[in-house]
Amino acid sequence: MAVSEIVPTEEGRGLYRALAFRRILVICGLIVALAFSFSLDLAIGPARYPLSEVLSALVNPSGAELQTRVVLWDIRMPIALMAITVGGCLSLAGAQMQTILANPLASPFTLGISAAASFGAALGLVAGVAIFPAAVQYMVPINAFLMAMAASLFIYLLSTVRGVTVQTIVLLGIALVFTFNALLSLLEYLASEQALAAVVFWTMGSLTKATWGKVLATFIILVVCVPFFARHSWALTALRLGDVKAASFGVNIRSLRLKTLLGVSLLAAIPVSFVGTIGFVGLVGPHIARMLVGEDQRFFLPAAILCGSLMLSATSVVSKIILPGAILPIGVITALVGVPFFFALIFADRRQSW
Amino acid sequence: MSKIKSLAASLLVTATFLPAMALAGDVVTVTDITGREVEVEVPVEKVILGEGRQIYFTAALDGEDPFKRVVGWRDDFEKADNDGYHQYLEKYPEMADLPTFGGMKNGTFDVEQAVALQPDVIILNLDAKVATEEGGYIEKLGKVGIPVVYVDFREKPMENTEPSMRLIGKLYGKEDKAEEFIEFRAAEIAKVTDKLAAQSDLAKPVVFVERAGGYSDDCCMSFGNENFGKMVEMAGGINMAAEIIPGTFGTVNPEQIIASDPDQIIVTGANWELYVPGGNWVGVGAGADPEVSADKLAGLMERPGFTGVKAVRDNNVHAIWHQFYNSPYQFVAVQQIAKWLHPELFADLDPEATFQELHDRFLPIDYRPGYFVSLNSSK
Amino acid sequence: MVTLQLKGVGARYGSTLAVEGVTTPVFSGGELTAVIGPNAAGKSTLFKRISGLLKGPGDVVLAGNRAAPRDAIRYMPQDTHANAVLTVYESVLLAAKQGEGWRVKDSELVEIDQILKALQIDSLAFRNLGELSGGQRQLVSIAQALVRRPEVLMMDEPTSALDLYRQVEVLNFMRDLARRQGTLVLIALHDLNHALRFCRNTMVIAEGRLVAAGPSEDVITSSMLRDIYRVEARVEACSRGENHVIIDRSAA
Repeated sequence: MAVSEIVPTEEGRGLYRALAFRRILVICGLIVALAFSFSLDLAIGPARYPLSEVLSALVNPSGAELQTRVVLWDIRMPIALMAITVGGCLSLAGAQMQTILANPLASPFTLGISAAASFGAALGLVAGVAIFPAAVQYMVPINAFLMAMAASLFIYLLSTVRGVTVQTIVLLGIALVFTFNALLSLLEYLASEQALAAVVFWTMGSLTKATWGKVLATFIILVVCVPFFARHSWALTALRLGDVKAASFGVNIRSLRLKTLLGVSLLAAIPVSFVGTIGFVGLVGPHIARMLVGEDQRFFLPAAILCGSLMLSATSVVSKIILPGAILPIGVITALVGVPFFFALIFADRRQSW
Repeated sequence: MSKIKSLAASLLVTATFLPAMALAGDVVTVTDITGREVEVEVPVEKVILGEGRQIYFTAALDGEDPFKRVVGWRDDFEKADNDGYHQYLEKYPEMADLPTFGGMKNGTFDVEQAVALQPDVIILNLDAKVATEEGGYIEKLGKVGIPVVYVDFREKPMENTEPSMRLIGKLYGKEDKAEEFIEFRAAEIAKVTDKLAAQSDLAKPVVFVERAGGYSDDCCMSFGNENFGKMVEMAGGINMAAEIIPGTFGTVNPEQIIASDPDQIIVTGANWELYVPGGNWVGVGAGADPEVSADKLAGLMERPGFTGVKAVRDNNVHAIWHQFYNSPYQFVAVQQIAKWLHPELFADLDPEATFQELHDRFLPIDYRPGYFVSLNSSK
Repeated sequence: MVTLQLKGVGARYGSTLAVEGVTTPVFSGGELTAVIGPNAAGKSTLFKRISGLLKGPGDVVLAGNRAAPRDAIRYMPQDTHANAVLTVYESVLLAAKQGEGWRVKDSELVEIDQILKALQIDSLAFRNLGELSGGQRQLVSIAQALVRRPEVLMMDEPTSALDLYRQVEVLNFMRDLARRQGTLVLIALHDLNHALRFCRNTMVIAEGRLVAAGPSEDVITSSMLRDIYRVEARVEACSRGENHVIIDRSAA
């Protein structure tokens, strides 16, 4: 190897640019698929309106019949949008969770955020206890949110202690999961039949609770968190090479981890308090994204969001087709929709690790 | 001659004493609602009620002193039927001192505590059967000589109410009273079913029954073809959710309500202040304020899934006491529903009067109206 | 010409001092310096202290550097098995970006192409990290360390997984690079013959302290080998006049 006369080749650069371009295409493909799923979600429902009527009610709401307008804008639209925003939030949270904890099984719920939220909701549904007494009509979501944030704060504070490793954080999270699940079971035992049905339904997740206000809140959280993660794209990607390597690249790993933890907590707690716990999306969405575009956060981040949104949106559509007229717990269907696709990807591309 | 005389005399003596001996603790074999044959010493003097709301039938038979036999019960009465609980508490304050249990359904039945109370029988609801068998409670209680019988007013109320009442009548030594109740009930139900059967070509309205409307912000829980769903069918209606919900309970997509456009809407409610304080549920029950109930009911109809629905346009929206679904009084509910669904046909039917009569003849507490509310004030 | 000197340098983990009182002569750029010593002596710790990853007492005196110390000094850790879903090209790009910026400039890509070619791993450029062998990963680590052209480079056992051919090639490459670019290179090594052959100077670290520092042939002696490594060995000139370590047996 002579050092002095090295002629840089065109090949590497060109191949890299091509790779980046292919990834952008994949992301565009995801956007198209999402748009398609969203349209289906708007067009399908027990009140069978022909496509032309749906379109005209979309374009010209004031001209449409009252019922059509209400069904489209007050029932279907919030649910369809909620699927997109919640799916995106959960998948993004899962993606960053897996990044900072270096654990492929991490999801926003690994740290007990969802268990805490379920417990908070159950407190409201079973015992009528409002943690924040002023706004009783929003008792359940507020309870859920406060408990979720309390759990996150607990983990956050413990993470700032010197010498706490990633494994410790994960174990702590698992301890919280068990604790809150136990408390939840206790509440379920004390519940009336109605309360029990409501709690169980809550823990299985439901998009029917969607309202325009909730959609907006979830969207805002997404919009607030994305720029933060985007700004730290390279640093977050570097984390995946190991703590020491990342530190040697100049990344402040401690500070990055803590800030990301906070972001993830918000991203997980808010949707959960609105729609109950929807599992699987936060775990599998990032994996699918990773298989499609790799771990460079500049591509991985948008892909994770889109995969999550697509998964939940498709689920919403499928659940309307399977059992028209009734509502099935969405968490169940998400798994049914996501798992086959996940399997297909795993077997198609075994070269990838994780 | 003297032989015959002495025979006659002994027969006479035996005949006189036989009933007395039967009254003073005979061990008989009864068949409970699941077909089990159980040996019980009747009439029972100490009974444990497997569900607090079993007081509904106990009070119907032991009207003069409903708690005379009860040595312990489950603690659901206060939470599930707060208004009823307080009604009974007013008259029988000692009720608050009765020992309470967790439920067999949750597997927390304290066998030791039960034994300490020395009941002559434990009456359980049918829905506790699975948990009871899993826990082997019947064997354990059997070892100390405490029999267990099952009754049912919830799972198949139309089939099981009569045999359940008869069984309890036998246990309490109040068979006559039980028969009276059964007759009364059958007659009242017949007022509905006979009239409906006599109609050929009856137009049956589509009815949407919402379970516990306003309890949570989900819309909307409903019933399949049992329970309230069945009551609607009995009263000459079509249960909107029967085809949609696979089981007895389930949730209906709010859009479906618009799509099915029901002719009538019935919302079940109760005073759930202890569970969901300040919630949007409709607090019908004993002594409920009809105006408040009507307001809340109207409020529920402003949800998106009810926009422009026929029932709402015609004000054929009603609320009914939720606990009817687990009570021997549910025939009153059937009457009220029939009256809502077919007002001209049942113009002479007066469900409130029926309920009043039930209270006067059988129950130790007064009838306080407030169990039914309708947005159609002509009804 | 960049120079580096350590004055009373120590490194702290929590409250314990893992390394202390390290004072060295002035090292200059343009040549390789070996850092040798038993396992867990504190070589890695010292490197981390110099690069700023650890804190501690004493002064790390850097002079003659063109860029800021943060950018001028680079630490290449021992290879850890990372299973990120990244290609080799991207992992070197990460090192080039140093966690900043967003867009990828052509000039950065040119640097990556150059270093991959120089290390003869350009054929691996678009393989995933998880598919590489230990040796290949080590070469990638070296590429990551070099891509930003650091002025001071500390390499923690960069050749441990490489075959003999590549060991020699890499060390030759590093010596040439140092000479050509004026880079000051500290290499933690276990092979003392490599130290003798490629490194002008040698530092010996044992139990968190500096035992000796100076020209390699002065530092690597059989008494040092006996005391520090507990090995009976001779340092003798071969038929070409170059010094080699010949091991007889391990000492008591």
